[in-house]
Amino acid sequence: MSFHVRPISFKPPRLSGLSARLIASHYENNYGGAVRRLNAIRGELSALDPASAPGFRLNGLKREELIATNSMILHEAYFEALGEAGGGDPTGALAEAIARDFGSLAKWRAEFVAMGKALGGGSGWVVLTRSPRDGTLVNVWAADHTHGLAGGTPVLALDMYEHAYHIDFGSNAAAYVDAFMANIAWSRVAARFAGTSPEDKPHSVDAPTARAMLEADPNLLVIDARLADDAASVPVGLRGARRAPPDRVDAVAASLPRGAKALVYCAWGFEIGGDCAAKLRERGIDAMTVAGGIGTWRANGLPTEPLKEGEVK
Amino acid sequence: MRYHLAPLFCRPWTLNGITPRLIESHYENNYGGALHRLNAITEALESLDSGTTPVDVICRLKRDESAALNCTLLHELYFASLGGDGRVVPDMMADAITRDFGSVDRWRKEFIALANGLAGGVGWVLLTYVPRDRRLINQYASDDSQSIAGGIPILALDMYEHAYHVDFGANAAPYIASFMRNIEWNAVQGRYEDAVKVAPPRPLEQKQFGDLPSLTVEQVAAMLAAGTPVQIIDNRPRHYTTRSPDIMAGAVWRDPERIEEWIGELSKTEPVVTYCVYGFHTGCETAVALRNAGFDASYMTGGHYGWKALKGPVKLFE
Repeated sequence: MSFHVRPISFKPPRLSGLSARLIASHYENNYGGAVRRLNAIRGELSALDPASAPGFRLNGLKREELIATNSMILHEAYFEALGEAGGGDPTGALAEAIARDFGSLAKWRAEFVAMGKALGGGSGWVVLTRSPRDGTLVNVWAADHTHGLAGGTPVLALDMYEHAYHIDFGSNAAAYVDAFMANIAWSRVAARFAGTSPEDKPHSVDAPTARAMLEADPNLLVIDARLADDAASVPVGLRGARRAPPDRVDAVAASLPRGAKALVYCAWGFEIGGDCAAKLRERGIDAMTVAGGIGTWRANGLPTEPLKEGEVK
Repeated sequence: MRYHLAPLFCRPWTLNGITPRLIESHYENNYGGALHRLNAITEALESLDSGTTPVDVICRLKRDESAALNCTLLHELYFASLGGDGRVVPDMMADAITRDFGSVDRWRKEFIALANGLAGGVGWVLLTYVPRDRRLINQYASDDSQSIAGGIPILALDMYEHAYHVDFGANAAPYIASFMRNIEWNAVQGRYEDAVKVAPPRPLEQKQFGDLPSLTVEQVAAMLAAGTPVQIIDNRPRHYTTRSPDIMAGAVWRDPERIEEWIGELSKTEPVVTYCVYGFHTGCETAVALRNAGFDASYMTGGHYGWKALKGPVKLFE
């Protein structure tokens, strides 16, 4: 697998005015779908001899590759821009750059929001983009994934495809745009603007690495640390997973042999799984978490098994 | 208002697996929105002075007009495609689909596959009649403004996410299945009956050669492929042969000005096909002369460049 779905950077149920169901569907089906499609297209392209393939076949695939790649990149910018306790205005260098290039934060916001609302009922993106030519910021209109400023860096991306809002808002695109603005995690947008990438979490592996570990080692223990509610809403798990929600971590840990290796996952890869793995490590178990939890695992199209009856709790 | 609103064609409460709430939102917001946009754009265009307005302003509005107009028309067709029992395809429609797709089942699989390919994105899948060739095709459109020039869509499946997210979320497959179950085939057939009345684009007419037998480049290619005995004469005027130094494989060049010098080489028992540069008068006149002399002669439409456009084999002119 050449591309993988990255973990979501916030807890989907913690946004205000955007439901976890909408976010999970968007993340898994549309972002995850783009990545899975991109991998399939890359596979087809690598099996193709460009010199002898008909031109329409080659360029048809290249067109699909561009669509899927841009969809992946823009969706990553979109999800990265959202977060708990978001909204308000940016600060620091990003705020200064916006004020410089748009006149004021308010003017930037008015244009960005109006562009988004004007795309309601259709599809596209509004992307605050840094131009490679002179470093200025511009709000870029896109009617589909392939539109973009050549060489520009997306700083903040607003998805105006209807999958981004119909589940919660129906056709009321304006209410969705307002909700998006109220959930912007400006600190992460500022990091994007500054070009700094988030640090890797220790004791954590990404989903494809976790899968490779599972395939290589049939004795690798798998621990499902999710809360009962989260397990009930997605009643599947990784192969052979043992449930260890927070109230049972100690009991499960005591039953495991010291020195064993374990993979731990929760719903989205935040504290529940991290705390569980830390407790296991205290008991001498070599525990790693799966980045992004089962949400990211599923968005990558990786295999799961149904939870057995009685295992949900 | 320049463009009028069409009432909702299907009865939302009769649909199987698609809720009235979805249809109402779709009709009011997306169809109504498109019509509203179309009228606003039309009004803006009418208020412009095309002589003094910057061309980019006019072109921008015209681009938006084609998107809004198609969006309006396709939504009307979409609502008119629903409301029936999708399983029963009336005979005439089934025959036409079988003629052009092999079977109704093959058509259905292709139509559904195109829809699945648009899931999570935007676009339309259309069953469209193409008068030029009097046939039906499934058309894939990845936005509102793509359409087949002169094509007549008779069945429309909206794959914009507004068409299903309210009922189905991101799960497009059951939406597509519900659409298929609700197709109003009698209305589709009615539109097909109207569509087939549209004549193909008028062919090139050369009245002075009205009775002269002709063959298309495809027919000549088929004769050569089948090994049918035929004498093919390239009758391009001499100065043209110097400009385009290749010649159809299997043809010999003979000067149309000097028929009497080479007519004796020809056999009267095998058909003769003449052609010139583009298929206008030179090849025709030669064919007429040969027919008057008792040969079974016809001319090839499209001439030398028609043959080359078909990617028929050529060789260097000697």
